[in-house]
Amino acid sequence: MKKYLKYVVILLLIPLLIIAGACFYPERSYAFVSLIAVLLSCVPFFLSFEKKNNSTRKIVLLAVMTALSAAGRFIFAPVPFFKPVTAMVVIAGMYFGAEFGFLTGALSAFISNFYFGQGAWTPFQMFSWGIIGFIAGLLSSPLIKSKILLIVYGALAGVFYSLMMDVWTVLWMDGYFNIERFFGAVITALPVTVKYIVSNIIFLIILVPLFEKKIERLKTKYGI
Amino acid sequence: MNSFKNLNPYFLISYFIFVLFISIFSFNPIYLTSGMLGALSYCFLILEKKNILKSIIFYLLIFLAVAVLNPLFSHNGKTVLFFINDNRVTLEALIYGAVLALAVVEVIFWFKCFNLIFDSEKIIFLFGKISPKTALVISMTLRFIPNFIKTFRSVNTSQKLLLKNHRLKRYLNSFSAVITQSMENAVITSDSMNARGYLLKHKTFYSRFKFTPTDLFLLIISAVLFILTVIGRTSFTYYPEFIFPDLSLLNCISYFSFLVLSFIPFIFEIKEGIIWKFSVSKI
Repeated sequence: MKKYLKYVVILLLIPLLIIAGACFYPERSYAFVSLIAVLLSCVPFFLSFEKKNNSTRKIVLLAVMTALSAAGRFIFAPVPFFKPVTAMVVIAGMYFGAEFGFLTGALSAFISNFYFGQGAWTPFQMFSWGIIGFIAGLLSSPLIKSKILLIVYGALAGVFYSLMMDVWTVLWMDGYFNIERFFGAVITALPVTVKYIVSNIIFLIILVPLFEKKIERLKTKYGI
Repeated sequence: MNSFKNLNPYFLISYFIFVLFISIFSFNPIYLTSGMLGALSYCFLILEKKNILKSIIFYLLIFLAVAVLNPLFSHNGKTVLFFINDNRVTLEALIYGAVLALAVVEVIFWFKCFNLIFDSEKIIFLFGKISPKTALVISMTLRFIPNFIKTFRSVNTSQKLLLKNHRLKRYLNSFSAVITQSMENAVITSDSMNARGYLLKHKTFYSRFKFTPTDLFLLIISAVLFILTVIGRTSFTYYPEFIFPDLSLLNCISYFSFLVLSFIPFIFEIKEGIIWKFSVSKI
């Protein structure tokens, strides 16, 4: 029961808070209520990571997955918008669990922004990638079984990430949820969204079988 | 020379929280202008002049874009200037747009300063006390990233010479090699951590930052200035009519406090520069 309560708080309560804030508190400070809500939603994951008696393997693996997705942002820099971050976060969630997925997503955003520039958007990026990894972890067994579902999830993750960034732009500009500006932002971001979707699908199709093999190999070699 | 950057991270983070809190919440052009000047003056001391001029031109364009576009999205306000496609363009929306643009650019410049001052070491120091495991993960990740890029480059170069693959396919192959290598190394690293006693209790953490009297002094000064700024009743009304808050003594103190607060990095840097010059001439 306790376990599910946490999921409910994270997946329902916080978005509800953001929407309620948008309806009842239409002033500029609202953008920062949402910013704080987003930051707070990351806290329980880090707390439980801290409290749990994690094996050293999990800690190092988390660092490796985060570093891989951040390094991917550099490695594929010559190809604009073709980035493996989302795919890596989804894979982390699928194979190592929901919480691990969230942490990989949030830390990838936080750490890669040391190189690409921190800003007021960092918490939103952390939250978006974190949630993508978290849900991938919850859906892990169907995602591993069905390739079509995986492709659909990759596409949805691209749309979700792009929409979250648009929501942030609108909140930052107006201080409340200005529908007109939101649609304006969505339309101007459309080509980028399409590129996100395509790159997510390509990376997932290529990387998932690779990871399956690699994890299998690790299991036989080191007996994890 | 002891620069602002080398002060204690606890002081630095509180300073940034104070400044950003006011820059973000107040939405008052007077605060925003003084904050902008403070951030810019510090950038001018640290960065190359050419780069700053370039970024100023870039942000001027952003400023204009945001200021001009706002009336198209927002039709509130009393004073109608003209109509575009049956939509009112109001003076208030135009003013709001200009202030909004100022706020956006001002916060961007403060984050520029933040990126100049906060390297990863300071972040790890701040996290280390609250959440040592997260700090460990962050510091390991920061070491892995350049490692992985280096491995990727070497694999990629050899693939380039051996196989005549398409660039994208080669990139993916090399990336896959990096993944395999790094994941196997992860297992070895964790075994070696266990062997060296990571799982034991009573570990201690090393940090090279000390909390000096200068830090304490600056922390108290900036906290006082922050409180003096917050006391002022300086909220502007933009819609339906633009109303300027009255210039009472309290508000003047508030404006002046924020001006001083945003110039602290600049003043500190200049002061240290002068001391350095004098001590050099003595020798």
